[in-house]
Amino acid sequence: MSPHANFAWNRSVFLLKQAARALKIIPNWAALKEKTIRCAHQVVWEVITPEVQSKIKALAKARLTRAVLITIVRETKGQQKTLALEELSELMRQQDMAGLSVDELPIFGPSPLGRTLNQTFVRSRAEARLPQNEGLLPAILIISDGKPTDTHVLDSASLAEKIKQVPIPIVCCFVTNRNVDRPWVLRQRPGWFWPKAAKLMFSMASSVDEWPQLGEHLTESRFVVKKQAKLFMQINHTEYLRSFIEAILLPVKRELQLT
Amino acid sequence: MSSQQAQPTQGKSTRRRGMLLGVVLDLSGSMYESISNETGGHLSRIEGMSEAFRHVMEDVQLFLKEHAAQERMPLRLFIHGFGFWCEERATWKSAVGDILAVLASLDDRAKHYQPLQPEVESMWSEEVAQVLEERKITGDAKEELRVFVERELKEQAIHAEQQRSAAKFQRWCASTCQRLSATDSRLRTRIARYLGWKRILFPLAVGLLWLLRGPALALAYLNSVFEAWLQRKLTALRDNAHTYAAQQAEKVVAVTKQALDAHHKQITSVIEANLIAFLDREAFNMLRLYNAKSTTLQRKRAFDRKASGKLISMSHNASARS
Repeated sequence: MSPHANFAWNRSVFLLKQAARALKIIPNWAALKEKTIRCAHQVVWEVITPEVQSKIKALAKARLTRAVLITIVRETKGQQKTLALEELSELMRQQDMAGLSVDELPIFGPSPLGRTLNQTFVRSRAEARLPQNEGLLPAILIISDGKPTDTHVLDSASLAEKIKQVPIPIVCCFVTNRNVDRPWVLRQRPGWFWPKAAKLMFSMASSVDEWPQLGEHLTESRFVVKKQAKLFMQINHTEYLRSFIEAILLPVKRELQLT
Repeated sequence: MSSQQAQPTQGKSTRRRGMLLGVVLDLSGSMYESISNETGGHLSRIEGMSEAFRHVMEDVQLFLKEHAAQERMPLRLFIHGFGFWCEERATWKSAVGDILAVLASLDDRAKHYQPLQPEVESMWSEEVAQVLEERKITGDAKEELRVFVERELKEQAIHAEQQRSAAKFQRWCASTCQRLSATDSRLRTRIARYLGWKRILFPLAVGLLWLLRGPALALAYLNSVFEAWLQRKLTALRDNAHTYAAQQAEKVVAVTKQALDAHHKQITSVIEANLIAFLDREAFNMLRLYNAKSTTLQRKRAFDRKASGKLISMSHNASARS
């Protein structure tokens, strides 16, 4: 509080001191300073108090909801859920997240991409052995802006190479807010001037040759897939993401339609 | 199953029908940035993805309605999200979560915590309002300042008026004039005594006297004019002490408000940051107590009033610093 109060004091004290000197009067400066600061203090208090009260009202719900969600995430640690499309659809139908704002979500924390990819890889291999997943092609879809915070522990690009050799195809959706390239074109090589994050995501993606069916389905939708293109897609518009996800899910639809 | 079996070859994979999809979904801080969307407005990347996913799920639901289960090609998926926050210091493990597992248990767990929400919200509002009331600066500080300044001006003006009537410079001028008058009379007496020298000394004496008296008289005149002006000012100061004091108090208020307005954005963000840190601590504390089956009264008692008081002072101080 003092700096603002002192500001009010300093602004007026210079003239007062000059006037006092001219008039040869000696006011009680200490008392005057104290009263001035107290006055300024009260002004600051009056302005700030309603703000604090309104902020409390606005934040209380959001912060409690966020804390509840963080607790729920912690409580579900160790649980694993793999769902079929219809189960997923049913689960999403039951969810009512309309009331939740982005600030209430317990997210926007650190970005351990490498470790998550490793965990996904390990789980994919384990899940592939389960009877209910027999005959299913394990694949990994990465949706990220390519800025991992765990590169000092685990190199995402090297890990991706290892996964691709298994072979488990990796599809990368690079989320960005600017155009790094033509969004509907899947390329063989990264652009010279692409950001580091885009280059990392590109390097992690499998070649379309490793998953030719997906290449075909992408071609049949709006995407242009060049020869030996990588399964890398820039997402700087929700429409691209929607089309891309549907193209990945499309084989389900299309094969069915063909049969 | 051997590792060879677990590692499907490319040839095998092309023959496979269906997919086991592991999704690695970025939920980290950088995903808060905006992305373009169909509405033309700007959403955060997470909101954009959520919107796109919602549309996909609508299409999926339509598809599922249209086709029977036995006709559908199997697809199973799991989603690993990374970028989750935790209460304590984040580790990579705490940052990663199974999104579908979270969603599956969300409803049940949310229902469990639901009764706590209105209780905590009203408790926080009440407690903070009480702390604010307790720490409020009582009285009218502006009026106190005005009264003080007015009284000070009046007292000091009267005192100065009294002092000025016996001002040093004025006294010096008067005594100089007196001394010069005495010298004048002495010289005149001596000149009168020595008549022979009268013709020679008289012009010199007159010249000397005027050389000394002229400036002294001029200074005395100037001083009396200045003193009269000062007296008028002091009288005006005394008479208008109320107005000047009110102006001074208003000025203090205006300058403070001006400074607050200029830094309003920073102040708001500082207040918000402090409040968020405090409420987060309180929220987790409340959840722990709630899970420990505490009573409403116990939870109310657990509210950290000391910390909230400190927070409010800190908010004010921090806002002033910004």
